[in-house]
Amino acid sequence: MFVDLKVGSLHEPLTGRRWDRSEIMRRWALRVAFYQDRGLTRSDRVFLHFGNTLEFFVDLLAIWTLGGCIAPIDPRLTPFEVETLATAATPRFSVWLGAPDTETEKRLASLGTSVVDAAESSRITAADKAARWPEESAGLDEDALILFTSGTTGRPKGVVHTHRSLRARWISLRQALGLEKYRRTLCLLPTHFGHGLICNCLFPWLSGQDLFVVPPFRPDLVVELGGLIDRCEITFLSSVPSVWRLALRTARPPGGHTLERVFCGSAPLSAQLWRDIQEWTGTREVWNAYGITETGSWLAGSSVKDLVVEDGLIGEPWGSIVKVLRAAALDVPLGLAEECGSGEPGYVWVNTPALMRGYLGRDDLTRQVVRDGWFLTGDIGLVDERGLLFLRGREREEINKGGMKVYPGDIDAVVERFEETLDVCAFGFEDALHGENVGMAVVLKAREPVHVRRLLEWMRRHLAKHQMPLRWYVLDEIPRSSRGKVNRASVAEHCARLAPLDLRKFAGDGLGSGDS
Amino acid sequence: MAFIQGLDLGPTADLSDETSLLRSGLFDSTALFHLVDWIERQIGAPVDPTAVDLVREWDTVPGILSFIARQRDSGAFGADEDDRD
Repeated sequence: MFVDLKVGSLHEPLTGRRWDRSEIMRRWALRVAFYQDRGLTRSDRVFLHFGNTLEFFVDLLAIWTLGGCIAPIDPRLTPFEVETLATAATPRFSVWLGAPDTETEKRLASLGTSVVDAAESSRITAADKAARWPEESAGLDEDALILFTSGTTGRPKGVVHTHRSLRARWISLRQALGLEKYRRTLCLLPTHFGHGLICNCLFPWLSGQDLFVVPPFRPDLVVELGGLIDRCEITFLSSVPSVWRLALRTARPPGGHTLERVFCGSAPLSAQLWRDIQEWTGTREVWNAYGITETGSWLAGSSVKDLVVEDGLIGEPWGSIVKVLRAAALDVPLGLAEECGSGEPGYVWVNTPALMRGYLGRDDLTRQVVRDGWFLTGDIGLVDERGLLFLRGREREEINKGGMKVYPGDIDAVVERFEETLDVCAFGFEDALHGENVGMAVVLKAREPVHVRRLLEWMRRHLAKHQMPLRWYVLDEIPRSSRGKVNRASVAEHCARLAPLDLRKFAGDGLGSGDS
Repeated sequence: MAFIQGLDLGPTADLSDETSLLRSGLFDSTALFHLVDWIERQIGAPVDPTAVDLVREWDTVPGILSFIARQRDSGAFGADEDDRD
């Protein structure tokens, strides 16, 4: 579990709470006893709903100690989405800091999941309960982590990592990147993201480096980022382009010159933004990191000496072999596939010991992306004459909203279930802040405001806020190809010529499209 | 106020003069990004984050309006000594 026999300290700069190593060890033992008392056994799955807190990391240690598998859950999900995930993953426990809302609790209870308040253990003292350390630790090939990347409204896609795949990622990062620059790491990212949890947090922390965590998605923290970096003497942080776009416009730069390395990942990084981040942070070591949840996140990046930044440049692989092939076919052995020449774009494949075990209960999906142990990333890229990887686009249809992946199929699934929907197509469109945002074309049985309002209310009950389409287009029909198929890019192109719905006119209660 | 009400702040957003926009988490990054655009259009100049404490000044609607009025009055953004922390 530990990469280097000990963990670093944990800090919450906003609350001022700090747990040093001895306090973490004390609480770790308490939490092991807590879960033992409740009967947690090996291979039990546990939903954790309180990411980006000190308690989250200690519970992770305790659950792993007992051989359990954790699934960090986005706290913004609706009760319906939590139920959907729980139906797929059948967790033994759903753990909250405090109580969940009654509807979520009811839905979880109906599935046989025990809802537990993590704060309860604060009432247990070491004298009352001593941990009975298990004689055997979890096997390396047992499931350790499930990260849900899509399907919260239908059939969830849960990426399952084992202890072995996670350890492979951490050790390869340590060998490629060292530890020195990560000694005071700040995490602005949510811990239910692979990027945030596996790499930004656990890679340094489980190697003994100090970790500073703040709540994710807080723009006021971005505005105060320079001061936060100075106050905590941060040496490393990772983030996504949209955070930097906001920081560059609203935050004063740090003045303490503590930052030694900065990563940007999860979404395309332009050369201009790259240079602007270098200037703001005061370090040349701003690296574009390429990672996918399925590969344990960071698998390549700009760790090349004297690199000149370029649009789409990633760099060299870390603990992975990256190949660009002319084919994305999974029905023939990869040894028969043709490799692209230098500078020739093609499909990016990755071979890494950090590859996931597969998608939870979805062997059909796993077979669509894994062949002979190689992973088809869905990205289009090239390798130049120096052997450096560039990304040029992607085949996957996900919408990359500032690093948060939104799957149009998830939105379609919710809208289709609305009784007045005739047809729907969600799509991505260019957005100045996030790079991409969510749009939706919908055909309704009737177009009067009352129907739009009902749909809006329906979607708000079933979709998390970050999944909600920003631009709505109510059409007479969804454009289709001559073969009757819906092409999301074509629908987006069609809608770009139209004015989006002004939702304020329909809602009149502060509900708006945000496009004004 | 109309501009802010046009942002997608969720079904519980009930704005008053005292409503905290930033510190409360009511504004997400999209809303803040649009707000910066809007304020820059109102004052006719880019916001200089080194010159003001934006979280403090932009946390409420009256704060934002006062900020804009001051920038318009000064004629040049960020030149007022009082804006410096």
